[in-house]
Amino acid sequence: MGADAERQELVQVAPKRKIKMILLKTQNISKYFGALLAVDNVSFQVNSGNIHSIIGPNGAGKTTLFDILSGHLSPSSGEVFFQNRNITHYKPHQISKINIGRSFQITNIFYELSAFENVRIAAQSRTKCNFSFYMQVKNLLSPQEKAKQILIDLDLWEKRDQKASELSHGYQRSLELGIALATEPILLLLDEPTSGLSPEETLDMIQLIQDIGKKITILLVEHNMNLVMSISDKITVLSQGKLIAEGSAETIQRDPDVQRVYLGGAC
Amino acid sequence: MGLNLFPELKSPILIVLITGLLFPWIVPFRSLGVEILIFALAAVSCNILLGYTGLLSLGQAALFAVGAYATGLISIHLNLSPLLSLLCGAIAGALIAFVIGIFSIQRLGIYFIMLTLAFNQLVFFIAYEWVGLTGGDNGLLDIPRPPLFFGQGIHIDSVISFYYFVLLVFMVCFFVIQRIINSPFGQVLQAVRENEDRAWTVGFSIKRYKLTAFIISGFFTGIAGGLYALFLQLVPINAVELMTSAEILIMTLVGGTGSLYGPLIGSAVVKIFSEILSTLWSRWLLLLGIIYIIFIMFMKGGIWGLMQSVKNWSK
Repeated sequence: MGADAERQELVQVAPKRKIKMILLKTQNISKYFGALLAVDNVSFQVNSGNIHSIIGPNGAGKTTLFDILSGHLSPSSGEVFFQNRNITHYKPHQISKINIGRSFQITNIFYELSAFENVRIAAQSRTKCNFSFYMQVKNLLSPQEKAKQILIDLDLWEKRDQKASELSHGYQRSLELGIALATEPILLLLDEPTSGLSPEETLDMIQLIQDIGKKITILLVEHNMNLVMSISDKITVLSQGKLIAEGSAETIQRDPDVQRVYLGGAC
Repeated sequence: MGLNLFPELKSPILIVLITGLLFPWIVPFRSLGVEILIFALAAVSCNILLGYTGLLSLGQAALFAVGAYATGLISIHLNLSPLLSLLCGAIAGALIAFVIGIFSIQRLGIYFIMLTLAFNQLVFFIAYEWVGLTGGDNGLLDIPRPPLFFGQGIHIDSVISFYYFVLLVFMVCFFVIQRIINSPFGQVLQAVRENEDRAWTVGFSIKRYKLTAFIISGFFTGIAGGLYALFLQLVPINAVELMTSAEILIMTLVGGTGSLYGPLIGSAVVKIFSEILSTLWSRWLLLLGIIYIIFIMFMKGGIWGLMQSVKNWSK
């Protein structure tokens, strides 16, 4: 059933890729922490079907921007639109309900639950049975099937009964992604999915993100330049909270401002 | 645990039932069995919050006592069947849990705990001052124990018949709580316990789940309180004291928060130890205190956790 659904999704999403409609748009987003301006008047848009990356030196405001998009923070000013809906002050569960999924830079999983349950509970959030008290969870099949499919895709099926806390870091990073995927995102926000991974694991993760990117629009925050340059359709560069450049990988590499920020010691 | 003793019995709930049925014929103190079951229900309800949702509530005595007062008052003034007065106690417990919960869940961690403590004290002082309703310091006295089903049919005024009535109510509640824990809702509670932020990010409205857990806990704690009122045929003021909250919590912790059976075992152990120690030494509470400290310090999973370790080790 999971595979069928995926195929259907492909059919639905494929035409959108060609039209390149605007999926997510921010308008003049700013965020103050006290007197510190972490995000400074940022406007950008994510087109559906793209793998869109946000890069920038440490402290550029990437994660703050992500927190605003996923509802963990409210912007001090500016607005966020998703599918033409104003979602500026949505809370994380509301953001999730409109199918924006998120993974975290610092692994954020259900540690004492099994790997299977981690993904299953996320899939369950899409059902109408979350407030069913008398139904038994073992009889609620669709999240189980979806979790199985995702775990197989992520190479985690053999680890399904292990506690998440007992998995290696690499598997935990995959699980992190699996939880986000189980919520059936239209837009997936990935916050440094390769953080702490070995070079080999990083290659696997790149492959994985590319595969996912064929079906789901991805907004990616990443430090790993090779990854960003090789898979991104579009790149947005932040520095000290400001958007300083935007465009394809080639444009960004040639941009003098970006070169100054990365090579000129601004970090 | 008993799985090794009775390999043909797959479900521990049957062991609980059989132990419950035989208990009055093995142990000479029949009212001890009643107390164990009543506090086991309160501790199991407490564990819905503590073990499954990750919420440490010091307000359980308020839920317990409000259930007891409601059941007692209904019995005194309307003389309804105990089944109906217990239902009223349950609803009263759920309502007070709603009130305490909706304010307390706005805060996290230590602030949440302090809010539940403050509400418990608030309910205590209301009960203490409102003598006309609750009897204040003297307690609510002269609660009748009418027969089941409107004045005729089954009488539950002897200790043994009341014991079996309590056992029946307990088993039904335990079964329902177990279903709730194994329901999709119960799984969300456990996700909230494990990682609130992540549960929020995958689309669960944390506060709604916490509040619902509180209301469910209040409902069943209210039944436990109602049974207590019918058992003693009075509601003493110390039912609403903070000590009762602490006792319920200790039973839950000693038994183990990892399962619904833990608090049941905890209630039995605490009540039986109290009974034995109190006949040995007048300062028995001191010994009980030391036992608690040993349990909390060295057996994080409680007795249930210990049983699981032994079971895994013997495999």
